[in-house]
Amino acid sequence: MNDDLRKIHQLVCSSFVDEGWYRAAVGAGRGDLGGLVRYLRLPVARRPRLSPYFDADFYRATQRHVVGDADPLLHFLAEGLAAWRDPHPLVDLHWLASEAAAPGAALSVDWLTALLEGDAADPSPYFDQAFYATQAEVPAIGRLRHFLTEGMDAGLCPNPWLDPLWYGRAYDDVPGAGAAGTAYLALRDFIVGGDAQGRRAGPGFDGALYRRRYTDVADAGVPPLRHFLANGRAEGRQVPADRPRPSAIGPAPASIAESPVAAGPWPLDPAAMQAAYRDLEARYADMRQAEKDAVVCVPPPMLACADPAADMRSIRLPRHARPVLSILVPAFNEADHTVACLLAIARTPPRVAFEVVLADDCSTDPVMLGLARVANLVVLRQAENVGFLRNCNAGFARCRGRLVLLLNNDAQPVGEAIDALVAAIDADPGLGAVGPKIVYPSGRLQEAGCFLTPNGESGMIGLFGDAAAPGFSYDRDVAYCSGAALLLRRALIGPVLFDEAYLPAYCEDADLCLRLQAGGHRVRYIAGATFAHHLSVSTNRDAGVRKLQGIARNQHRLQSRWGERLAEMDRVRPIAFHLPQFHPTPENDLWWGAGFTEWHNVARARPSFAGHYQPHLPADLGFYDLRLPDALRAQAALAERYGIEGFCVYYYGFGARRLLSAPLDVLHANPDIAFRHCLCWANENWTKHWDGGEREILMEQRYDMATLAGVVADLVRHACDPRYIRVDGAALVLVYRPLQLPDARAFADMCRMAFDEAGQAMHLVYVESMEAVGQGLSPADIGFDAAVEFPPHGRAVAAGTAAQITKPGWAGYRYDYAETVLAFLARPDAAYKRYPAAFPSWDNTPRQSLRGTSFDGATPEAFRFYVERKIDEARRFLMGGERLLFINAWNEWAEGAHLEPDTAYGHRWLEALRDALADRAWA
Amino acid sequence: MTLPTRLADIPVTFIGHPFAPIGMGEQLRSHIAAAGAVYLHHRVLDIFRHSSRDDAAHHAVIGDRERLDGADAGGIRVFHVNGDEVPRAIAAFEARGGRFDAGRNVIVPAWELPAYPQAWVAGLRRFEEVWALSAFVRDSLAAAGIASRLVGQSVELPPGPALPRRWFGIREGAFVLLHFFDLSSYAARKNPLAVLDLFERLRAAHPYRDIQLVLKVKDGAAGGAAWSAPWSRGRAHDPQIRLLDAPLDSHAVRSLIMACDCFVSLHRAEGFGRGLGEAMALGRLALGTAWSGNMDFMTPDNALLVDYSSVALRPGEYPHGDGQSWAEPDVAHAAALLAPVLDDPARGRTLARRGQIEVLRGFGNRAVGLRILDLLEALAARPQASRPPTTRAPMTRTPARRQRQAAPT
Repeated sequence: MNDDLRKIHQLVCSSFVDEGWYRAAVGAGRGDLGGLVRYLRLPVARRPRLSPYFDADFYRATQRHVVGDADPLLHFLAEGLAAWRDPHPLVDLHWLASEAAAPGAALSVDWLTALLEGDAADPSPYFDQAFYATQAEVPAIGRLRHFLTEGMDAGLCPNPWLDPLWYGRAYDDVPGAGAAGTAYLALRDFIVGGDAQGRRAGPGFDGALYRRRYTDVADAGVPPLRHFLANGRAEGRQVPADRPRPSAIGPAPASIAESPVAAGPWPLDPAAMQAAYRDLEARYADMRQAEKDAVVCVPPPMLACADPAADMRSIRLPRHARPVLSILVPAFNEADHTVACLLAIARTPPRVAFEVVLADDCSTDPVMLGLARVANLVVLRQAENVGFLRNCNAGFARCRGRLVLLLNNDAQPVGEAIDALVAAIDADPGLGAVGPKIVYPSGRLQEAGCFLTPNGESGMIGLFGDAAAPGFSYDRDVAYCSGAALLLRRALIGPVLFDEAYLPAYCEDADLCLRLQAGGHRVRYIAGATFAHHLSVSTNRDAGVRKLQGIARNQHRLQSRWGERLAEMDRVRPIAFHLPQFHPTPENDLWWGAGFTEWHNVARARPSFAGHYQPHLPADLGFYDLRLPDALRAQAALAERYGIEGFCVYYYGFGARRLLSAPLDVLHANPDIAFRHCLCWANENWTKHWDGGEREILMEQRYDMATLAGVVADLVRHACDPRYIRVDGAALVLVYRPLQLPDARAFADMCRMAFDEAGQAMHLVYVESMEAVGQGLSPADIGFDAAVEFPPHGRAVAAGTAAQITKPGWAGYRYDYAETVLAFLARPDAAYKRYPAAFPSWDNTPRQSLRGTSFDGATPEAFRFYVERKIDEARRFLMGGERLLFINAWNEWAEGAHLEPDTAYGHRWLEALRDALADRAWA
Repeated sequence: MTLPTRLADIPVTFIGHPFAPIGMGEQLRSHIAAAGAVYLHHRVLDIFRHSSRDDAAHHAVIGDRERLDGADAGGIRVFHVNGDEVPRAIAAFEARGGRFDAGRNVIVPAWELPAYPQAWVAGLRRFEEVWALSAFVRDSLAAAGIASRLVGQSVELPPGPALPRRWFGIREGAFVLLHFFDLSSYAARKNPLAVLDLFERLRAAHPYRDIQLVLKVKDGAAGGAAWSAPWSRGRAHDPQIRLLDAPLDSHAVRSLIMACDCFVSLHRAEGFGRGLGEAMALGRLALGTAWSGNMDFMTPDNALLVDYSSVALRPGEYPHGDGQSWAEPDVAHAAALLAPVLDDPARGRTLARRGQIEVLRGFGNRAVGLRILDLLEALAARPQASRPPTTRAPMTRTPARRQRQAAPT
């Protein structure tokens, strides 16, 4: 066999060539060189197809300049693939590589075949596997092959908008003209040329109309359907249709659809309302379960003990006359776990002087008796079984160190975890106790600290989650850490460790931590220390019930004792973003016309499509003017009534010049208005487009020293107001676009210095807006203390249904509220302190009449669901005064984001917020 | 034969009107939810099967605990029935295949006056134990010579979305006073006229303050209209009074309570005062006469308590009321209590927040469930004393009973 033939043989033997097709075409298997020779003797143009994913005509036509007269398939396999030349109209290599990361720079045949055969990714924007599977019974695997070999000629479509046979019939010049068996010719014609010409892909998609609506698409020269499939639909762009199609967002209330002015109330169906809420609950639960199922666990290195009697002989413990640390290990039998625990300590001994106290609760296992012979192990053996709690107390009385590590006998430190705990508690005199990250032997997270609810129930933070997830990767204060592994300062405890009121067990560790906190000491979760723990599992149903009843009793006891503190610890602090642009200013008069305020845009908005709720018109507070003290008074009273602590007011500082500052000046002059507030420096350019961008700038945001000094001075001046919102005593200051600051850290330092001079502490928070969202920017890296979410920025999910557009020339974007809420809830937890936020609704049609963005399907019930989940998030990640919950927004009327009552929904957003807070006030 | 003394080995059945939209149904459902909250395995028997069973919230509480016959309901039975129902309830239980004497029977009767009616004492004596829904009921039973054990009832309601004020046609901006009363019963006890009086006093003091009175009246449209006729004449369109006389399901009732700022009860007597308790549990301010069952959970620090004077019942004012007395609330005091709250609603919310935590601590599902558990464990551990062993039927089914069970009911 010569070299050329050998090369060709190798190519033909690739996984891309279909064995069955080859055998059918050549009459022999690939091992038979004679068959290959026969194949090669055929003229190139008459050689049979050898793969469903290869179209020789397409390849030759699109790669004419490189293929020449060569066999297209062999060319593709030899060179084309490596040069990213597409083999088929429905196999888009660049698209595939972006959907499923290509291994390394060069593409390989096996990678490609595996993806195509295994449905690992959509092979092209034109082929939507998920949609394809909904049309008919298609195999679970190999959907593209099914489409190409059977589906398309049976009339199935590759995506919801492209119907090849319809297309073939619609245009005379399409090969086959839609006759049976010509679906592929039509499909190829559309992808190769028809789409770029703006032709109609099917009854539901007209490329020319799409281009007319979205002129940026036409300007970019992207084929319209390709654009829509690849980008537009995710951006909420709408498919234009020249005839009305049924609206899937439900019939619009007549008053909204027909009248330019909205009227309420909206029709409300109690059963549907509850069903929608339950549906969100169920979907959220599924989502959380799927997250847990997807966790890849890495088991920690653990010592296992098959022969405890033998293994205990290798336990070597040092002798320290004055131990700093006492490790208290309570045990009842379980010799294997107990010996493994002691061995783990002995193999990686803590660096401080330590002792190990084994409190043996009268074990019956004779192996346990042998532990008395381990040198330097302090063994306290109970004369009778006294139970976990009393056994711990007895052991505690024998501890001599100033630090005591409670360590269950079925737990073990991983690596130098004990040192990490000791270092953490020694570094912060405010700490009374610290607890580690506790994982199951499988590596799955067991707890990253625990939270308590006002009813005395507790939750293990991160239970069954990913131990390596960013949300559990940093230290933070917590309500308590479980006694399975808990490091304490002995002097703070007193003579008795656990209160015997909690006999036989459960909640005693929470009670202990609450005792410490009542004494002014904090409890902290230390992410850098990991312990592995077999959490006891009871299999006996009766014993299970008795255990649960015992837990209920002790939760009741804990609540009766600590109820006030638990309620105070759990108090959520809602803060709503507040826009001051509801009064005339000289700048706005000049730029927008005399008398301009936000109301100017709000009142003139009109619906863009059927069911589109516009305009939003104010109800209770009317078209207020924020130069009036009574307007601010009314806002404060309304907020207070629904449990909102205060407002985060946008502040526009341009150095000597401030914009929209009148309301703050009014507040300053009227200290009796109970308007609690903090400031958010909205540091961005003012433009004609309301986008903070670079085009048609009205007033530029500068960052020279004079500007910054003016801004900082303003912040300090306002923060001195007794109504100013504080977090644990520090004034809360937000920066809207931190990455616009030329040197964020220098700004932070400058602020801190100024606050310091004024005798104030500052809590500096950045807003995850615009460019800052999705960056995972650690506040500490820019000298800030925390971040705050800013929904719907960054996670919007496009509406899945078509709209019946009613506004001529409209080319806006539609998103789905409930889906967006779920997307925000699915978001990974941050690796730093991030305050949660929720938005009630969002629609900037008032500012962008034809290019508006709206969130369809926003309901007070979905908002309530959202707020409740965000409260739960605050419970997991924030403590005490840090339990802030931001709402975007109180009165962004021109963005449709307002809690303030409007004529259609009235107080329903406020009621939803209040009810969510009331719902979480106990459980 | 020795009977089991561990509760885990003894079947427990709650018996009564689990689907009835009345007080006896509510107290039963509250015990079912409470027992569920402490993992007490139990079953539920609908004794008369009269109710229409169309309230989704009832099904959510009862779940799959319902048993359809009484034939194997040995063990402990907790009857939520009233004293006057006892003979009918026992007859119905036996007609459904149960043998009253084959188990240990507890009754949880309701009553609203200081002395339990002597006429029903004999009925109560057929039960081994009587549980009292409040200290007031316990004292009332004691006055009739019946010893009882205090159990209370849970006022914790399931979470979930609520209907907004708009649904009920309630003014969104108003400070809303809510009052429940029942024309199918004796209205004098709930005392709605005193609530109207209170409201008129508040209105006279501040004619243009945005306050609204919402009256939820039970007993159909006709009854409500007839009742309201004397005072509603000439004020048919009074924007400050809203009369709701359509029947509401549990979800709507809960929503309505959520929709108010203050739940008002100027009752003359309450066995427990469930409406007040539920309002507090939902975080709403409660104002009530400082007398009778509601004093188990209302204190001056968590609610508004109205002074009263004790007055004798007039003949015919309440069944079995002759010779008894109840409270006449001081409406002026009620108005004086509300005035500072209307001036500064934050004061009311502070009280309400405390009230929510405190009422749930004592009368949430877990708290009541633990009391039920304690009572049942004590009962199980105690030998059955009052009846000779010979009347105690074996816990297994006899062929005869199986036959009866197979017959259509």
